Amino acid sequence: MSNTFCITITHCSTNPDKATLGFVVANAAQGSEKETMVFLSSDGVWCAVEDEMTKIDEGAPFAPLKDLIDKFIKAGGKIYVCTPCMKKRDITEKQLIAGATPAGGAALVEWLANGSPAVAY
Amino acid sequence: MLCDFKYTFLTELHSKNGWKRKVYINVREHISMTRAANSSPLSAGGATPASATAKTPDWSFDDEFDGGDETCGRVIVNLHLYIRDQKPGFRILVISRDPGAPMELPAWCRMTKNELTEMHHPYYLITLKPHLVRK
Repeated sequence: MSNTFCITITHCSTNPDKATLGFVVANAAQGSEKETMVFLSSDGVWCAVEDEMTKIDEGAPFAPLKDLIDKFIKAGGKIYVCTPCMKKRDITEKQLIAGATPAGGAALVEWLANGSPAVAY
Repeated sequence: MLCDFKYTFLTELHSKNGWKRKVYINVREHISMTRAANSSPLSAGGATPASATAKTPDWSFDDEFDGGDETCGRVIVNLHLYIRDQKPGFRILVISRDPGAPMELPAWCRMTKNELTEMHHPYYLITLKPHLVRK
């Protein structure tokens, strides 16, 4: 059984349901002692920007996105943010929440090539 | 440990080694669940849901985690954060009214090498990392 896990998320306000579900599963993976990386790309990069992330709240039974992300980071989860996707949207590194790291395709490929399962939202 | 919902005191559990823990329910959620169950063909005769009638098990435990009505990854990560600094061999009474809990918690135990010692939804007795206990 693999000890790592990856969730890729390509939505924020474009599909708040998918963004929320991605982080729910990320919490399940990290909470199950899998070293878990969330890879944010396309419009998903907005999930790592405080002002955008705090707008997402799907309501019960889901917690607000900020709550899910805070809990994921507290549990030791990693968040990688696609750099070209940031650049396309004029998002700078300073705008990213603490715990989110700019990264590129190589970081994602290395993580998966080492045998990590992945799920996409 | 309670999660983020507002709870009302339901009952009190006593462990054999002296621990005493209070159990709470989310009253608003519970009432809506009861109404739904009473109107369901699966509970003809006005039965209350299993979570409302389940008898408190007579299990020995060291501590308790009440996951409330949280579901899926929220229960798992809250439980993970609660037990991660606790000692191997500790017995935790987990209470989760998540209807997915009978699938979720056994899977979590298999992945994390915690032992699902007893299970009677919504009660789960979990022994932490028994393989790490010095003999």
